[in-house]
Amino acid sequence: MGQGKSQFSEEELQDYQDLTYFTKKEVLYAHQKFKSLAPEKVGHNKNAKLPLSKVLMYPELGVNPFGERICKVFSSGHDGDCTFEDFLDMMSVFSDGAPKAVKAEHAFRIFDFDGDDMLGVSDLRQVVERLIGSNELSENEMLHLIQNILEEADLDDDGALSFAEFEHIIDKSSDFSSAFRIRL
Amino acid sequence: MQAAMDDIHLELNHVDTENSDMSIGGDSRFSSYRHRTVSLQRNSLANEMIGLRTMGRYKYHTNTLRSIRSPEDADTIVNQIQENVAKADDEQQADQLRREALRDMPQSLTIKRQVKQTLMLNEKSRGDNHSTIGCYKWAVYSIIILYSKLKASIYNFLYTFELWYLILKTLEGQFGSAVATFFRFFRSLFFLNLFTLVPTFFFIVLPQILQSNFGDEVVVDQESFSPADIFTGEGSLTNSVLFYGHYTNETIKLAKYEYDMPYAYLFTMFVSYVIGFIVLSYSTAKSFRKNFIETKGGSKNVFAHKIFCSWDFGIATEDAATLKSSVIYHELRELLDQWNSPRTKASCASRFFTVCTNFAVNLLILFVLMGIAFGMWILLDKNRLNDDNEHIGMITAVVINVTILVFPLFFTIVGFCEDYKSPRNSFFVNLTRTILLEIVVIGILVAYWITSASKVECWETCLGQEIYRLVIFEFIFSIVFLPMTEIVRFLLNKNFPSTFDPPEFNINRYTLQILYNQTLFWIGLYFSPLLSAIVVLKLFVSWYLTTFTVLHCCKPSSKTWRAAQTETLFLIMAFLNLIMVMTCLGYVVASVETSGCGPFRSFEYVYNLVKEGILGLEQGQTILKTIIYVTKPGVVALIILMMCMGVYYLDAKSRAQDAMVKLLRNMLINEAKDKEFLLTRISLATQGRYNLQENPLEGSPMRQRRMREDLGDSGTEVLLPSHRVNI
Repeated sequence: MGQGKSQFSEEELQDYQDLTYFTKKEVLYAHQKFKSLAPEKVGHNKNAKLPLSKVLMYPELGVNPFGERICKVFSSGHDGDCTFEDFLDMMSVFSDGAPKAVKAEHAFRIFDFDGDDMLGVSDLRQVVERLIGSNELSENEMLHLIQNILEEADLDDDGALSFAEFEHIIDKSSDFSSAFRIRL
Repeated sequence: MQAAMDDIHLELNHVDTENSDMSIGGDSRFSSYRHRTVSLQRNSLANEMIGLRTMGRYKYHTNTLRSIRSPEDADTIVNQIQENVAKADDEQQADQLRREALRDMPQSLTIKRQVKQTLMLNEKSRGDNHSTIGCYKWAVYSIIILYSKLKASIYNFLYTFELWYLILKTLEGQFGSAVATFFRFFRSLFFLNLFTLVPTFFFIVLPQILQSNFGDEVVVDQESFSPADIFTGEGSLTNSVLFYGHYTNETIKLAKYEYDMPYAYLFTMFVSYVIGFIVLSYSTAKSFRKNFIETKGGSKNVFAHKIFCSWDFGIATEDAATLKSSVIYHELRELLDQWNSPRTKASCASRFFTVCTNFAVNLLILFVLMGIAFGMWILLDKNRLNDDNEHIGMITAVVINVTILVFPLFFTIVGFCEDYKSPRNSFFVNLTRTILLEIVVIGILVAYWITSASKVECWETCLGQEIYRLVIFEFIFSIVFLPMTEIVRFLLNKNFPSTFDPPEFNINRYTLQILYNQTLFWIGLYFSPLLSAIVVLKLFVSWYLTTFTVLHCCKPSSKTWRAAQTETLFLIMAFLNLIMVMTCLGYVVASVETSGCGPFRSFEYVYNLVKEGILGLEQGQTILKTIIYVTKPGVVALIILMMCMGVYYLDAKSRAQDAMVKLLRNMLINEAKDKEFLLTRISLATQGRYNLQENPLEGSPMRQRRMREDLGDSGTEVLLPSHRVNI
């Protein structure tokens, strides 16, 4: 860890500790993890920008159906390329310490594929398609499914889920916090 | 009609005023929920609510800051935060606020750092403009700041020593969070026992060892040690630090130091149990609150939960991910099928049949449990009388352990005959029965030795030995048989992949195993202080064995485990077990006569030690009189009655709040539909096709529906005008 320490100043670490749900040690550990994705690049410049394909080598992101989407949401350039700060931010949101509301906010962005701040029919369809992977639902079943989701959760009946409605679902779920979590 | 509408509006106003009251201190959960629901309708209200939201904690309403995503907007955030922080009383609070607000903000870290720097600069430029605060407040805030710093450094420190972190992560990656939850439960029990080991070893066992070896009177009557003693706990081990009977009732004198054994023994035991109790009750309550209370009520979002909460983000291997996908797929299919096929009501005869089988099965299990209890009693009685056979004690231990292993299987098989609607129900029923079996077995064991207290020389040691043997044999069983079955199944699958499935990790069985072990430990600790060391060692070994077999032989379960709720259930069971054990030990301390051995032999009841020795109470003192008065049955009954009333009151309150949730939800739906209705009217009117004879308010379908619901369903048809729009 000696090497990691030399790459960050005390103030930076303090900043990271204040702004994330991590302790200083965890921040350093996260940096190790980040470094292991591309040792030669990050070794030179601790804040190097890694391309999407490199970030997806992180095992949890690699197998996640929303992996590429997660990177895009957290990347500061919105193109999926992540600096260490983006990566740290991501891990902090996925950590145990992050409150449900913060997790819900980011989950909403991840699921909002078209970025219109609403989970519309097309977003829901894409979420379902990614979740079931190589399996397939018939068109009819898919429509039925989406209709059921909207029936349950779309309180104001506008055909899409707003953030408030989404947060309401998450609030009532005991499993969300334990599912929406990646350990460092 | 108008009256009914006015009522609703009053109701709404009432809700609003209540909201503003509650947001400051009261019931934060509910008020925040209501905030959100109402804010959907009223944006103006949402704006007012920025700032105070939950109990004493400041939070920024997400809606205001959500849309900001680019670094150029950092200034907006700075302004927003400063505006909100200005409401704070003083500097320290403001500082705290800023930090929390920044951390919880949904912006990227780069923006956050920018904002932080700007804020710091602004702070500096404001300079000495601070209002001075009082001494008291200053002290309070310094303590708070010190505390949060201390907490951060403790976490920093603990993080270095997090035990088994990598194994847990690998397990989570391969098997999902449910299995990881089990192993985390396992680990916390290990730590709990480790914390019990430290005081019991240093304050009870160590002084006794010192006394036996260096004390004034060195004990000489050592029997020769034979290896079989390790399994029976008898022979040379009977009179050793392992068991209660060996401990002295005197003050230990070493050089010039004195150590009063009876007090030390009682006090250490008391502290050990109370620590366990506090830790467990705290975590059980927390988990229960999080997983059952906070998520209860309101709507049932079956489909939405499946979609948004079912992917386990901790999964890290390709296999596990593929499996998860197909599990989700099948569950969705199942849900859709259920939805499509209307539920057929069970016929009278079949329902009668189900009730009959349930009754018969329960009766059968009751008889089986009674039979087990009776058989155990006879076995124990025979063993006590038949002292010449040395290894007879082992037979009881083996029989009991086999019972514990075999009968749950029997219960599962019997459970198949019963036709439970959901697998969840059958799981709960099965679990209850297994726990009952364990309680019966341990209960009989304890009851037997308490009742035959007068017939043996030292019943505490006998009970200690009995439990010691159970723990040892359970150890052997759990390190030999459980991994063996998994390994054999794994090998079978490897050689004949077509006929045998690879073993799945059965969380249920493993949890019951460690719960049983834990209960044995709790009941045995008082009678055998060194048991804590044995149990810690056992958990340590079995951790490595279990993780090894799981990682190398098992495949992820194809069932979905609701990890969070199951964890709560296990915690509750562990907690109940501990309460039962403590009640039982309380009884032993208060009203079972001590035998002629152990640290308390000079007192008739252990309780006397507390009464006379520690509290220094004598007959006739007011404190004693008060204690006796308070423990009278009448007073106890009164206290219990008052507690029941309290529970009833809280329950009624929560039901009322549930009803309010429903009402607000309906209002929300109605409001939305009203909007839609009016929009269509507007478009009609703009196109010049609006029927001017119609009263716009009266025609609103939602208002009609609302009134209909308000008046109750009966008789509403009469009130409704004929032109109903299809909703």
